[in-house]
Amino acid sequence: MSLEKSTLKRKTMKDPVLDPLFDYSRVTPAITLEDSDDDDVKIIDKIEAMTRRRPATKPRISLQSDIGSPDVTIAEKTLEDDDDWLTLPKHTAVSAVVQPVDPHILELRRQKEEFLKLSLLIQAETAQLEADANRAKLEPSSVVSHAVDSLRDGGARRAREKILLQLQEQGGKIHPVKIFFDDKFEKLLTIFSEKIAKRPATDFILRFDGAAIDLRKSPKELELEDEDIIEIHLKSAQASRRV
Amino acid sequence: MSGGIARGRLAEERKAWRKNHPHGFVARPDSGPDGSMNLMIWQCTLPGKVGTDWEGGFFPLAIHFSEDYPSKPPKCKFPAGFFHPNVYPSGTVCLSILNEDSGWRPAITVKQILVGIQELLDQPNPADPAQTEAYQLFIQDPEEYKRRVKLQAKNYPPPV
Repeated sequence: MSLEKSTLKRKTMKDPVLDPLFDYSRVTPAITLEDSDDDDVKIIDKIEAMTRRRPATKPRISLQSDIGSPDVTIAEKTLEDDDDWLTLPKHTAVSAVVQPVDPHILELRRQKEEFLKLSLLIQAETAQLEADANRAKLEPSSVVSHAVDSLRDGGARRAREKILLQLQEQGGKIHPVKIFFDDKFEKLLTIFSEKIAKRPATDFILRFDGAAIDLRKSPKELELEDEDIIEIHLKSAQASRRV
Repeated sequence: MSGGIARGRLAEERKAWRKNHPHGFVARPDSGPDGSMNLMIWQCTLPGKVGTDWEGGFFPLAIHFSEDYPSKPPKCKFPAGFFHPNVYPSGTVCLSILNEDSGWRPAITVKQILVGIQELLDQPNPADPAQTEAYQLFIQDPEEYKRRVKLQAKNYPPPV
């Protein structure tokens, strides 16, 4: 979720409406601050120049929530920029140089922050809705909501893909079973134990290539192919054999 | 050139094996620590035949294919010191179908090789001994031979 959010944030930032916040041509030179590390005065001058200029050109820009704090200028820079900017905030010099901010700008920033939060909330809710709808689609009996867009349709179609597996009993007898590609093996075992063997599922171990199958995994995760053989081993037989 | 043929054939063998093989047998190409697959060496497991002294054992067998496969047969190896009259002390299996000059045919599949070796376990060929210990016991002391076979089966328990 947090990952999702961060990508959302980045997207939001690229939004043309927010764009004016970042005047790259002007901000970029500030990066060279790092190089002139030893010259504090110079740095401070530069920062002052920057902070002064910015409100004048783009008054509605700031995204940061902690507006009152001294870190504002830094945070703005980091947010809008790429990785090579990330080292910048370390600069302690900056915090000492905070400029008083126009109350109108503060107000605007507060509003912007509000909007940002709202948009994130909405995105999260949409994602939740989509997930729900996807789940609903998997259940054949449940009604699928039509609010779903093409993206979700694609996901559901993928989920519908099936795989034919050959369950092989110890005696060599083979039962072909079709399940969803991303169903857990638990389901396969349940099908076998209830419909075919009529014995508790706990009696059996499933094996592929000699290795016991983790029932929480799916054929997809094990990269199985159509008609692959899944061997069924009896737990008790194995135990008695070992003795 | 011939290496391409070997790999192509082995890819087919693997494909066929996944879809059809006897229960309890394992045969899969070796995989390196990085997960890459080496088709030229296969790690296999053959179960001792039910109803024989070999039952209950799951014997590891490595199959080494050469670039000349399938014109030439692969080399099949149990762990060194494996107890069987037709297994060399190095673990290499001595079997007619694995011999270029007698029984090998390019059409023999991995499945046939493994089933053939499983048969050999309980039906050693005294005409073609490969190690002295198991051979002599087999000829001279069947009881002790039987005991040793059962002991070995216990030493190779089923996979957990």
